[in-house]
Amino acid sequence: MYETFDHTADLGLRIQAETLERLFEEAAEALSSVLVVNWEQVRPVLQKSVRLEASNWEDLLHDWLSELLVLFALQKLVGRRFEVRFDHQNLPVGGPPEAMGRMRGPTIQLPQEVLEATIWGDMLDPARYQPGPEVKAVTYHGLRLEKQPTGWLAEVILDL
Amino acid sequence: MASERYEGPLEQVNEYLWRIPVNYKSGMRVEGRIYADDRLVEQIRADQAPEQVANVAFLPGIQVASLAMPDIHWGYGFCIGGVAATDPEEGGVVSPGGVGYDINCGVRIVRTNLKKEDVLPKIDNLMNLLFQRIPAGVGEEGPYHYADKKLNRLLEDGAQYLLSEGFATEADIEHTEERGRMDGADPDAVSPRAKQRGQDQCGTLGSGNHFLEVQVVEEIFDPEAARTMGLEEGTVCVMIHSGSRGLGYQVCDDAIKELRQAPAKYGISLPDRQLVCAPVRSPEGQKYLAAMRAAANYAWANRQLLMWQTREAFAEFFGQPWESLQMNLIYDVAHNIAKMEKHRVGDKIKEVCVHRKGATRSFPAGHPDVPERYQKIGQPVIIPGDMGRSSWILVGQPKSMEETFGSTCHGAGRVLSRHAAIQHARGRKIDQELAAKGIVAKCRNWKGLAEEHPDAYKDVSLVVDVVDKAGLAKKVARLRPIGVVKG
Repeated sequence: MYETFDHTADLGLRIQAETLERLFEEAAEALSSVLVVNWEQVRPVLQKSVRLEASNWEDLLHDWLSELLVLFALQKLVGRRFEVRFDHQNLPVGGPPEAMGRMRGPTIQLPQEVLEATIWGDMLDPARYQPGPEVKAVTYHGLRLEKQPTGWLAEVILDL
Repeated sequence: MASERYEGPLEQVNEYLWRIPVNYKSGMRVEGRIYADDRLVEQIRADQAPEQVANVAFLPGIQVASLAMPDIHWGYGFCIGGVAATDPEEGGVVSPGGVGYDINCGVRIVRTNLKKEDVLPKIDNLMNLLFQRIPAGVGEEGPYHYADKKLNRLLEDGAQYLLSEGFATEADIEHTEERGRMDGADPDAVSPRAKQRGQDQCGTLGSGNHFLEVQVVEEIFDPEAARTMGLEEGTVCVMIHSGSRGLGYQVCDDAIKELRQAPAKYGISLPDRQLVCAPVRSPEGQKYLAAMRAAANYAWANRQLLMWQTREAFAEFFGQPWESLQMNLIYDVAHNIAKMEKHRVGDKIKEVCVHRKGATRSFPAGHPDVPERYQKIGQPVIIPGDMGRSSWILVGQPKSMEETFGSTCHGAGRVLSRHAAIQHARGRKIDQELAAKGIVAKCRNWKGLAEEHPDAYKDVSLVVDVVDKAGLAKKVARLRPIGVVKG
């Protein structure tokens, strides 16, 4: 479930879902419905895979929506259906081999949340789909992602 | 996070200046100062913009005050209409959020020797041609293509690169802020993704509040300055408002992502993640500045190409070369930018990093960075209004150097959110309302027009009144739109 909320020069998205996967999928739907006015008519005829990593869930949500914006800008891809899966990995913190060789003790590990997603959608064809306002970016201002008694809540502000 | 009224302190200093005391929030390093009169201050309190002025005061190395112009409105991180100068000697930072996603969003104005009566009878056809020729709207690509080495040169040399391409003249360069090229731009600091977004968008208007307007000078306030700019009552001008397009948005997004860890690394505590920053004198800060300057150069080239296409369209429409229509660039200003500039702070001259986020440089007469033509009157300051009301040309004044790091306002400032603007416009035919006022509007979609309709903005004349009376910039001319192209 998602809704938009007002932010003077910009636009906020508020998303609620039972699972984190669904939250990310709904956030993608919310963004797409801003990018294309008649988004529900977008045909899921093209497929695209995405893999992203970030050190926390908020950053991952930011990066996921930013990735969709870039796909829209560069490949004119509008997503209609999204399937999101998560993984968790520990990244060894690297450095130049000579420095790492001198290090003692266990390697430092940086936990990373990993998102793998499949997007089904179509190319933006102005004859078929009506573009909405230009979304310049997904901001970090007021970015929230939190667990609630009934599921998950996120808020994101888009720079229009 | 919805819009809430600002309930914090706002103390009146004088008729045009309000203060947020430095003790309002612990962590503020300087006070906040907002330029406004009684009428505007009520609108300013209506949302969280003053809170953002206070938040900017947390930035390490900030000098004198966190400043806001009378067109201040709620932004993300920085308020729109904000000015902040930081001193690298004191650990001063640069913040990509203090420039914004649309790096070097700005305005230029071109005069013509045409008079209102030459153009008004043909305005509909002229606007149809301009709408056809000026690429506008989401995802629209232009006739120009810059990739690889050509794009790198464009990022390095900005509008000056277009001299060699035959799309600019020396006079155009002379009358562009920074001569259309910021030193220290590094194309290698711009990501491949940003470059890819930029290769087909140079010379395109974009969407949102960007526009091209055909305007008529309606009233002159400073005859000498107006004469110097080639303006008299009835002169037809073209105003262009655009920025660095997708390339700039990507540069900002890349920088904020790269700076995620910087506050922790440099021990900087911030009240809003969007204010993320790094010391000017750090590898991260230097990399951002190098990329931002490249994006700024791209924006100057973009506005130059938009103007070039406009000149070509006018030449075709009026059947004579643009040179004989005397379509000379008056000036081009940036209103989203960070620059190293020399300013007096106390009894010292310091080189500070001036962030202007929705604010315009406003250098007075005699300043070495003001073009020769304007040395006696001050740098032209261009203030776009909204579709239904006036735009303004001002000139920079000495008090801007004393009080605001050589800065003034940039526009009208929104009062209605886009959503509210659409609600407000529901059931109304905005294009017909504009037509009734003698303004021909061309827009890709009605929703775009509704979001930007005049009621969504403060009255720009109130904003200009404040900066004029506060001595930051002086009124020269008021212009009225007769034709609008929007994305």
